[in-house]
Amino acid sequence: MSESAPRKPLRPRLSTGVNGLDTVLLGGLIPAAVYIVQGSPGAGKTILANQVCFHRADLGEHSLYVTLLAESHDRMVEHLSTMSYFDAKQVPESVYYISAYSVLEQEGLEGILRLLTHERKTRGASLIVLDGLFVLEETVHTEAEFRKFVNNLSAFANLSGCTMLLLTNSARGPHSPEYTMVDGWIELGRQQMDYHSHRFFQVHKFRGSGFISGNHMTNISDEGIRVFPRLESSLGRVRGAATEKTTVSTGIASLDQMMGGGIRGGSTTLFVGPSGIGKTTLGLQFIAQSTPEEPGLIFSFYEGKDDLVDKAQSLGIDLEALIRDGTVEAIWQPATENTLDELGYELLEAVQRRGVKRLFLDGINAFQQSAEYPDRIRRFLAALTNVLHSEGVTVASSLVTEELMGVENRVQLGSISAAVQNILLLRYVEINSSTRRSISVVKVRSSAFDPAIREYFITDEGVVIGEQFQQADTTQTEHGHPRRIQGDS
Amino acid sequence: MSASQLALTSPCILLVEDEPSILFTLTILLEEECYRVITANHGREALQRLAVEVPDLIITDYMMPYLTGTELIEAVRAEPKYAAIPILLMSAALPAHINPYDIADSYLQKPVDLEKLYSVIKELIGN
Repeated sequence: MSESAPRKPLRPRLSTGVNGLDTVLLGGLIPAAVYIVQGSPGAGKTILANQVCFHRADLGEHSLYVTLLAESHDRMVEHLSTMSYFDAKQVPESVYYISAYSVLEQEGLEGILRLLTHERKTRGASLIVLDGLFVLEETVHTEAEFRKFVNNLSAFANLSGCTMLLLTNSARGPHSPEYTMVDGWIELGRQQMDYHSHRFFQVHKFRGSGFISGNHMTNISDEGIRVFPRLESSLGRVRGAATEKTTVSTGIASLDQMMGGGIRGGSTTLFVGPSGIGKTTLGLQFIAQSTPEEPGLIFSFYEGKDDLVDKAQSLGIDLEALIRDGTVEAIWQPATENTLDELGYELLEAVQRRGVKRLFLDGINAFQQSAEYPDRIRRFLAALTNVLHSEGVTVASSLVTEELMGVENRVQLGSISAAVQNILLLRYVEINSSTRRSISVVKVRSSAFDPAIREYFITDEGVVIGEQFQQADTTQTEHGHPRRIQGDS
Repeated sequence: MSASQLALTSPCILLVEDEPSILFTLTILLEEECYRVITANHGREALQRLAVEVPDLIITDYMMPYLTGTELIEAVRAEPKYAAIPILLMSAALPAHINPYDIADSYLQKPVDLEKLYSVIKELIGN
């Protein structure tokens, strides 16, 4: 039979107000559809659902929050009132809470549907949250009865134009009928790692649209729930406009010379070396070149703002003044239990907020340490540096080698080197029973560079690069024995 | 409002729909609007229901087993005592050659807008 179905324009997506969620859903929920939000107690289902309700209230819409649980919703509202999104003025006019517990006891599933029908109409609700779907599973006598009810909810949503969120802590598997019948299935979970756990969010099903699959980290704060779409998945395809081929200074003229005249604008340069060798010093000189037109950002994991200001001062750089007049911003993140994507988004937001053009990322290792799954780091850093490149940000980053000795053999650049264009190696050199510093360029993409290993000094005017080592040059090995690196004595 | 609470004097709608969840949910939605609803799962059953009670309005789907919406409407129209019953056709799709307004008093494409449905019902029953 030839059917003519004039195409109806797609209904606009329903924004959720949950930061990151709409990105994962490629634009938000599809209206007039039913979604299961699944998660164990404490996973954040109630926080998420209420966040959506209050967001819709801000847009002038009405929501109905129906709880099937025996516990009082007054108590839930009391807990929610600490959330910044909670607006008491919106209750009860725009967000209306009712308990359906007694209706379920007295009138069964049909009673619930009649209640939803009546209250939707009375409240003019465009969003209904049904909190406690698992209670219905326990109430019904047969699986068929439950399936029929979920099917009826689906028809109700479709007919009434109402979007529904069904919250459940049931651990039923993907083959359970409710997941087959609803339009979307979202899971909030917690993953136990060695000593800590992290929260994640996953879309299992989203009818009528694509979505960013896989696990995405989440956090819950007094601002509600936030989803961090896996950076390499959500931003991995960002392709910036071809950046103008500019050359920028490292802040040290002699180092610029070593690198073929400077570094390419929008590139990433890595300073690799052991603790105390001078990586942060190089970074501070790089960031001191920031201007109000090309602002700078220091994103550091090991040294806080005050330490950096002191260190800069010892190099003749007035970092405090640069921070005060807004030319530079310094953000310190303790290298503790961060999640990779959270760090990535915080960094990118700080870059985009001020139109940063120079970034000093002090301690790129912290990204590696924050990677819940280490095999992600290569793609993550590739995506991150790709976005920074597309924003025209020139990046200098320090990578601390784990051991003071044995730099040469121990540098594990595998996951990082693909994402950087230039690499500088900083090493301790033992000569005549004294320890000196050496600097060498090991990689500069698309440019010739000076391959010499040179000595450098940290003075009160910053880094001064000296002559090429000529004789008996050695670096320290992991065993503390001299190892020849160039020339013969 | 439940079915038992509706007065027999409430306007009566015969709802013909083979999709049980739509039939059930739409019944509840219409009862909430104070209509009395008789249901039929397909055209044949609809004709049986008509023999028992003549409604104020028939709302029918198109794609159903045994009889299509068009065939049901033709059967209804062939019977003089049903001639005055207004008919609302609702479907997600119709064959290209069918103009729904040639066979029914009104037509709504699924998914229907509920407010639009209510207003069409009022219009048809009022008439």
